[in-house]
Amino acid sequence: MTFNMKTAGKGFIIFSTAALALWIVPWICAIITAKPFSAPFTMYSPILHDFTYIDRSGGKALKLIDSKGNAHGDEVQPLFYYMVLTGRGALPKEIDGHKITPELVKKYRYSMSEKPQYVNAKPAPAQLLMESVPVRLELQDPEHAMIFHKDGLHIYEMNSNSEDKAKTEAFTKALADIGFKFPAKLTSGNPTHRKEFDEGYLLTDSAGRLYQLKMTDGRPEARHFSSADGISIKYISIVEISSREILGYVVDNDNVFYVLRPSGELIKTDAVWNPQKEKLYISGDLLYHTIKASDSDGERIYALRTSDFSFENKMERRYDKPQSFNICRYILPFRLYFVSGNDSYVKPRVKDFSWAGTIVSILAITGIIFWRRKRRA
Amino acid sequence: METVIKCEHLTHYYGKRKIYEDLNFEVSKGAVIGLLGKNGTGKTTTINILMGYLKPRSGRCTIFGEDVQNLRPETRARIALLLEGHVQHSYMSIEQIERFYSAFYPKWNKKAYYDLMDKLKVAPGQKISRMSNGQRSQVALGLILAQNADLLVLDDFSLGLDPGYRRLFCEYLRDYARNEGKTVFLTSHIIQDLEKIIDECIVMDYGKILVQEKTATLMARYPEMTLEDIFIELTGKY
Amino acid sequence: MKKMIFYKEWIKTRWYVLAAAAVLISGTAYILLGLGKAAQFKGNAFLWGYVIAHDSVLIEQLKYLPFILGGLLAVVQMLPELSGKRLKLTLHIPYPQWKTILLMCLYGIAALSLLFSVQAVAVSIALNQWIASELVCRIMKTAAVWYLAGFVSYIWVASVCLEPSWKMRTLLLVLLAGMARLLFISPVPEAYNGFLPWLALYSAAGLCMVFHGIARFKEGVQD
Repeated sequence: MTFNMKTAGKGFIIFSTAALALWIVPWICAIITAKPFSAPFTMYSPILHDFTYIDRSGGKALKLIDSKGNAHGDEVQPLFYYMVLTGRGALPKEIDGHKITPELVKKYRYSMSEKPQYVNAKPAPAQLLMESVPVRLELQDPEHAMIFHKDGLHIYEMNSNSEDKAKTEAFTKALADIGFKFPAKLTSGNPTHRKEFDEGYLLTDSAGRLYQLKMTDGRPEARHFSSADGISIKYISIVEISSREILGYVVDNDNVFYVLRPSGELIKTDAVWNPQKEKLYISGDLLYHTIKASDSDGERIYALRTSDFSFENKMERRYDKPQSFNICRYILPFRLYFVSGNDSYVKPRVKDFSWAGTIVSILAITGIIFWRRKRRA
Repeated sequence: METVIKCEHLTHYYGKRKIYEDLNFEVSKGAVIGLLGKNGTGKTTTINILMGYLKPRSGRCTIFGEDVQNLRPETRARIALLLEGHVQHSYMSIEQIERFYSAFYPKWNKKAYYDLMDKLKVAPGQKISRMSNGQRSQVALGLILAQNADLLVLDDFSLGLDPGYRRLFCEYLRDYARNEGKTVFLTSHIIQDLEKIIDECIVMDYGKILVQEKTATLMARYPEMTLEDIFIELTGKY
Repeated sequence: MKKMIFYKEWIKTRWYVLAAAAVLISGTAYILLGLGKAAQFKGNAFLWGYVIAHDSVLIEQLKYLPFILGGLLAVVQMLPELSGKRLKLTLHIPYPQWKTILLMCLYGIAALSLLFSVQAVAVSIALNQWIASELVCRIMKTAAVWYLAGFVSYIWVASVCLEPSWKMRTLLLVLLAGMARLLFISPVPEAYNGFLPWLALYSAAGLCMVFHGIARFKEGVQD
C-alpha cells in the first residue's frame, strides 16, 4: 500500500508541478513581454458623414482623423464636444436640417458599455425594486427586493427582512395575467436613485418572451412586448436616458442587435454584437448612434441613424498589437489559465497551443528520464 | 536456536560515503547482543534499517522471518523499540501514554509499567516533556517492559543519563531479559554499562564487522582488560 | 485502536483546536456584530443593497481565516512527530502504517470540518436575520472555496512537515503557493461554482503527498 501511495504521490506532485509551470511561466512571460496598447476612440461624425478617431500623437492639440487620413479639429464632432464648442460660440445651429441647441444635445447625449465578464457572471438571485413614481418626485433608495421562483415573484420588504405577501400575490398575478411563465430567465434593471426616472426591469420569462415590470405607487405595472415574440433572446438591457426614446436593447441568438422603443416597437438593426465574447460601447446623440463591438483581435463599429436606427455606415479595424518575442511558445506546449476577461468564473482553460513547445517539452522530459535512470544505475 | 534477526549482504552508503559493505550477522532467540562501534560506524544506521526506517543500498534483513521493509503489525507488536534519547510522545502524561500504547499490545503488562512509575514520584498528570532526562528514560523503560515484547531494540539507551539512572536501566533490563528469555539488540556509547548486560557483542569498524562473539569468550581472550579496553584495542584509540 | 490514534492526536492538538475555535468565534462574532450594527443604523436594506448591487458577500474579512487555521493545525499536529523523529514511534505501533497516517490526517480534517461547519452555521443563522435565504445561500456558496482552502492548507502543510528532504519541501511549498493563488484568485461571488467539486477532488487526492513523504521517510531520504 505504501509503495502504491508513494507512486501516486509522486505522480500527483509531477502533475501539479507541470500544471503550475504551464500556468505561471507563460503568465510571467506575458508580464515581462507586455507592451502598452490602446485602440483609438472612434465615433461617427455628423459633419463629415464618416468615422473619426482621436490621434494623440501630436501632443496637446486635439486631432480627429477621418477614414481617408485627413486631420480635423473638434468641430467635426459637435454633438460630442458641444460644451467646448458652446463655450467658444462654435456650436452649429443646425446639422442636416436638425435644429441644434445645447439643451437638445445634452438631452440626447449618452453612452453605455457592457463587458462579457459581467454578462457571463452569475447574477445575484434577488433584484432591488424601486418605486418608479415616488411621492416626493425624487427617486428614493429601494425598499423592496424581488426574487423569482418557479411558483411566482416574491417581493420582500428589506428592512423587516420579510416577505410582503400582498405584493407577492399582486406582482405574481400581474405577470401571470399577461402570460409570464415563471421563473424569469433574464432580468435587467438599474435600481439606483441617481437617475432622472425609473423604468423598472426588462425581463424574459422561461419561454423567452420579453416583458417590462415596474412598481408604481406600490402596485405592479407589467407589460408584454409581443414584438419580441419569436425572437430567441440572449441578452437584454434596460435603457433610461433623458430623451426617453429608447427603453432597452435586445440581442438574439444570432447576435443581431435590436432597439426597443417605449412604445413596444422592436427595431432590428444591422449591428451585430456577441455579448458573451465581445465588449460593447455605445455613444448615442441626437443624430447618430456609434455602436462598437470589440474583442482582443479587433473591433466593428456601426453608425446607425438615431431617428430609426437604420444603417448609416460601418468600419472594421484589426488591432495591430506590438508583438514581442515570447520564449514560452518555444518551450511549453500550451498555456493553462483559470480566469478570463470574458467571464467571472474560475475554471481551467488552455490556449496558445504550440507544436515547437510540445516537441521541446517531450525532448526535455525524455532527457530528464534518461538522466535520472543513468544516475540511479 | 530460532533466528530472530538476520542481515545478509547489507551494504549502505550515505551519498558517496560507504557505511558498510556486505555486512552479515544473525541474532538468535534469547541473546542479548550489544552493537559496539565508534561514532559514524553505522550503529544507528543498522537500527534504522532493522526497523524499516532506512532502505539499504543492497542486502536484506529479516526479523522473525519477515522482511524488515514490510513488517506486519502483528510482528511489530513483538518488537519493543527505544529511540536514541528516550524519545517519546512527550506531550502526553504517564497515564495518557500508558492508555495510548496499551490499546495496541495484546500482551500489555500494566503492572510492570506502574511499578516503575511509582518510583518516579511525579504527579500522574505531569507531562513527560516536563520531566528530567532520567525520569523520561524511566517512562521509556516502563513502556518497553509493559509491552512484553519478544525482541527489544534499544538505540543508545544510556544517552544523557546520569550514573544512577543508567544503573537502574541496566539492572531492570538485565533481569527482565534473563527472567523472561527476551532477545535484546542494543547499542550504547558507555561500554561499561554494556559489559553488565550483554551476552554477545558485535564490534563494528568503518565499513565492516571486526568481531562478533560471546562477551565471555572475548574477555577471556583479553584477560585483565575491561570490555572498554578491549574495544579501544580492537578499534584503535582514535 | 482507531480511537487511540484520535486520542493521541487530540492530546497533541487540543489546546490549538480550542484556540482556533476561540479565534474563529471571536473573528466571526466581530464581523457579525459589525453587520448587525450596520443593519441597526442603516437598515437591513443597506445589507441587501450591498449584496445585490455591489456583489459583496458581507463576510469577506473572514476569507483567509480557514486557510491560516488549517495550515497551523498541520504544523501543530505534524511537527511534534518530526522533532526527535517521533514519527518512528508512531509508525512502529502495531497497526497498519498507512492506516495510522490516514487516521491522523482524518483527525485533522474532521477537526477542521467541525470548526468550519460551526462557523458556517453561525454565519448563516446570523445573516438570515438580515437578508433573504437565497442571498445567504449565495454568500455560503462563495465561502465554500475559503473552507476548501483551509483543507488544502492542512493537507499541503502536513505533506511539507512529513517530507524528510528540504528540496522536496520547497517544491511542495511552491505548489501550496500556487494552490493558494488559485483558490483566492477571484473575489466574484460564486465564481468557483462549477470548478469547486473538481478542486475538492484534486485537494483530497493531495493526501497521497502525505504518504509519499512517509514512504521517503521510511527509505531514509535525506538532503
